[in-house]
Amino acid sequence: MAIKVLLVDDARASRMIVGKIVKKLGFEIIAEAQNGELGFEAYKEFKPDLVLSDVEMPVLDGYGMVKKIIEYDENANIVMITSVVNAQLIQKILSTGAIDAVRKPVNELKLKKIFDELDYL
Amino acid sequence: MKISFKEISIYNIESLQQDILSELKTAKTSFLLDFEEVSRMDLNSIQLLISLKKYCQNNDLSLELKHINARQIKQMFRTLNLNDFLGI
Repeated sequence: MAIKVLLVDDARASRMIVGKIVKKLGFEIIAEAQNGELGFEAYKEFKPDLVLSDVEMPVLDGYGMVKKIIEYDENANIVMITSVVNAQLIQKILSTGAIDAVRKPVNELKLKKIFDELDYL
Repeated sequence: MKISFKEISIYNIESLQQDILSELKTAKTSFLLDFEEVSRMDLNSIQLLISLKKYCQNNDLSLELKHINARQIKQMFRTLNLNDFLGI
């Protein structure tokens, strides 16, 4: 059975591009959301195996969403997609409860590496 | 900033990203990207542009994309509904 993925990003084009890569890797996009608040609602409704989320979003950003999801389900698997990755930011991302971070632009190689580390592939 | 690559792809996107980040440090109210030399872009480039637009929005910078003449790029922007978002 395909791994179910929730995509959260306020830019529709980004969701389309990342979604295409995720599907190419054999995963299923179970739902999409355009901000952290809607992402949290989608998480509760669809119970995805993995959340791929942008950091900078209106209404509720990625950090806020991760915090809410982890409070709801401490075993949630969330990978953040961010423009800048440095040690400080990685620390901040991991401290919220996300399991990893990938730097934009996302491509098949980067996602496959992350998924491999998560033992999904 | 004038992009010097004819094609932007996975092979040179990191280099372009570093150039843009470096130029952004000196930007005060606006940031200009000139595509005159660019004839093709891939999906990595689109993601970079979306990130750049969001960065500019969050930092009170206006982003201007100039000389988008290549048919493939125009088509890609249309397909992804990006013209309004990128202010083209």
